[in-house]
Amino acid sequence: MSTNAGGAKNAINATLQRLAGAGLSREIRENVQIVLTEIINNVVEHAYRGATAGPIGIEFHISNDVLHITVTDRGRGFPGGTLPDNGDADLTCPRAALPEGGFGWPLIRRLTSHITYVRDLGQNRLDLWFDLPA
Amino acid sequence: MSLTSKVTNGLQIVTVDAERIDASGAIRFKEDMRSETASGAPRVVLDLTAVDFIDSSGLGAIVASMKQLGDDRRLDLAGLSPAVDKVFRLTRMDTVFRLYPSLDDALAAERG
Repeated sequence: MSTNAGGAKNAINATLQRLAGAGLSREIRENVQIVLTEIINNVVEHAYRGATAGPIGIEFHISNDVLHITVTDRGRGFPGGTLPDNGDADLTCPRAALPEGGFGWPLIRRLTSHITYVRDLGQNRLDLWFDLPA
Repeated sequence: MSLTSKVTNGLQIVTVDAERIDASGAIRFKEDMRSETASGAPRVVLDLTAVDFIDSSGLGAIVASMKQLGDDRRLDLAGLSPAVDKVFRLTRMDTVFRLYPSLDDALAAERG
């Protein structure tokens, strides 16, 4: 798929439909939709920043109690070669100082059970795991 | 982003006529909210009943919309779908905004 917004949305929707076909609950599919949207926004805004388009791959595998999703792209790697480690922002500040961004990674981390990142031969690979209720 | 609004008795209801508030529409949403809320009702209720998905960019745009109101006007959120509600709670934005399951709940809270 290419990285324009419509292409990204279609690829996520196609994945969600296949997950529904595989019998995954609405709640898990909501979580996957939130996480994949954030991941692919990041690919478009950071990995492929300044580029017109680039490939993004989404694959998944379901075992008994785990959903494993792999997202690949061929854009820039994460700075320092590691995933961002930003935690929750301070929300007790005055209204004018409230953050308007930085919510993506806290969402991704809360909704997944495990994440790994590797960069190899010009490819970024994120592996995401979601626990499936028994 | 399509917004409609009405003002009654110091209360403004802004209705979002879109299924998503996401990265592709966040800047437009923030600008449209700025023009819709330019006149100063002290309480603004954003009716999200039609919205079934929001991402972190959309969330940021709603925070920005509240900040645009200044310190003395309120922005409450109504009609959150389960997926939208989840994004607000997981980012702890439920500590910043008052969230109501429906527009009627938000309006009842005004009277009560």
